[in-house]
Amino acid sequence: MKRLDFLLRVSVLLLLALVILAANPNFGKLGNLVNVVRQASLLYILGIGMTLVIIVGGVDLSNGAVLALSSCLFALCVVHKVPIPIAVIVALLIGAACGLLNGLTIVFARIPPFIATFAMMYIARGLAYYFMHSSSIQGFDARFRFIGTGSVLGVPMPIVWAGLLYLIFHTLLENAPFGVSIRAVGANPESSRLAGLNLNRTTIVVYTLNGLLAALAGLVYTARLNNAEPVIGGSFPLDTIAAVIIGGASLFGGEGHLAGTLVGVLILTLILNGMNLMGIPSIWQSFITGSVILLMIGAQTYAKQIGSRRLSART
Amino acid sequence: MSGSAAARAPNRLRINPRTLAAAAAHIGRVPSGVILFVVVLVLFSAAVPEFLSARNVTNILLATSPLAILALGMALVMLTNGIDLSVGACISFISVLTAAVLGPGHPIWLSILAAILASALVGALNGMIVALMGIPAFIVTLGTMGIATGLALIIGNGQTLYWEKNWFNGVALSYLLGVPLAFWIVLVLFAAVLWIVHQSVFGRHIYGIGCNEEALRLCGVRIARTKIAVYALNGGFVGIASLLITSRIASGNPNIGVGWEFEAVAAAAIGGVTFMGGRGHPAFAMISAVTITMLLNGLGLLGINTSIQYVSVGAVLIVGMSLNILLERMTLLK
Repeated sequence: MKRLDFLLRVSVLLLLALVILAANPNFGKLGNLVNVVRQASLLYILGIGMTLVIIVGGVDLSNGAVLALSSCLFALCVVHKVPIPIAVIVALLIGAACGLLNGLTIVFARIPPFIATFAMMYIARGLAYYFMHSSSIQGFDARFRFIGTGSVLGVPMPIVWAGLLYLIFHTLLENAPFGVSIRAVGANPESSRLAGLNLNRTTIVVYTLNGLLAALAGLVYTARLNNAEPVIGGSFPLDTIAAVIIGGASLFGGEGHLAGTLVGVLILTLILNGMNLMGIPSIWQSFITGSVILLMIGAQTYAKQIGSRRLSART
Repeated sequence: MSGSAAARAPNRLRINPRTLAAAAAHIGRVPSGVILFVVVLVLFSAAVPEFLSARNVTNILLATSPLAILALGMALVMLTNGIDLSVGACISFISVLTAAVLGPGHPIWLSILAAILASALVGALNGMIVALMGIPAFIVTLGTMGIATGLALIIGNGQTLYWEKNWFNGVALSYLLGVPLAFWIVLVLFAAVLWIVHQSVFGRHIYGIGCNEEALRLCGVRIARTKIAVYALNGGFVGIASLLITSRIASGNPNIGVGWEFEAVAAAAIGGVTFMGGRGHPAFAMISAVTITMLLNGLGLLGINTSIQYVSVGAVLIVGMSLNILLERMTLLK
């Protein structure tokens, strides 16, 4: 059943690719395909974190702002002659700290995730603007830029990062005890508490990892564009949530796979890239993303209702 | 989690739709919004001499008006266990729509009607998806947030729209008996909300849905209809707020709504309207809207960077909500 589900999504992806290819042969060029995958990789790094968060029954609206904040603080460190490795560590720590704060407010202040991360979005974005004085910083060291623009064995670095993180987090989610507890907490908090799982710790760790991933994505983004500014990443929360939902994760928690999210990210990127190739102005983007979220959630809920009706008919 | 829910149960059961005493007990809990109101007022009056000057108080009333309207609507939505994150995007959408109707020289009443109707329609759409499909409100309204943001850009092709100056431009900045007209509108809407909450069956159903939807359904109340009405009403309020903002900036700006949804949610939440629904009072949400405006105004007077003002609203939300939970635990201990 799960495999069928996944194959369905893959065939939607292929169908979409064929439609775009039929409409515009330029889509099939290797350059464009690599471009699409490279674009998708960045979204996928954020998507991995969002998948974990959604599996645990939460949601994160702050990833774009955290990405911007850590990218800006990295740039400021570089400007102030901090060695690059230390600046990278600072950026990652900032991201993790934002995530940790999200987790703490959700767990201990009992603020619903979408509100706590909404507040974090404002805090992080505001701090980014404050530290940068609303300007941008360009021109980074070539060695640093390698993590965004370089390539290993002909594979662009963003794709390498996405692949590496997929391997790590796939193992964590599917084969490690921690993955089991993430799913359990998301699927049924009460029974996993009774089973002796530490709900609070699991939730906090997931949000911290999510913040860390946002910071990492911020570094790759900065390295690729050779630019850090506080305004970046405004559409990322909506995009990643859409991608994760297209990938089959349930917002009610407990369900979701990184492979599914990969397909979701690719589908969303293809839609946006296809629009681009067909000459649809980019102002349609958020309209499309919003509609996709509503349609997917609607379909998901509808399928679930039918499923439970069948189940109750059988018993 | 379950422990606190169980402890809250008797408190919920006490809410009897019929008696005034029950309504009083309902309002009795003082949320952190009131405490923060006093703290912010005292702090800024002490720190900034001109904070309580007639001119600045008028400024605050002017700036509060849209947010107070949004907070009233959001409070009603949150009382039904819902939320509306599309508010900010809707403000942008309605702002551009109003300008698009006014631009070619259509009558002003038509643009006002179009704005409120379109906004109520978006709200009703939210309500329908939430009520009929049972999808969590935050994700539905996140989707419509994207759609409304898109519409704002699409209608004006990404541009800010202008129209030939007419009396609509002056509405937001006109005064009646020395008080901004905008604030009179707030008071009228506040009276309407008070009537809904205290006098109407609709209001009782709103609280009922938040407290125990299933019980209300078994009583034969049409839940879906009530929910759709609440979201549509909130949409109408958003339309009015957007008209005030649009009149003030004298243009239809596709980015003007950014962040309003957050301040509205913050006002309602600090005002003690919980995310579990059924508890809290719109009046406190309105007071908290004033608190947030005073905070931003005071920080502005102190010459503090606007980016820090963003941070402060986020921080106030977290502090305010944590404080509410603390207060709740204290009252439970009593």
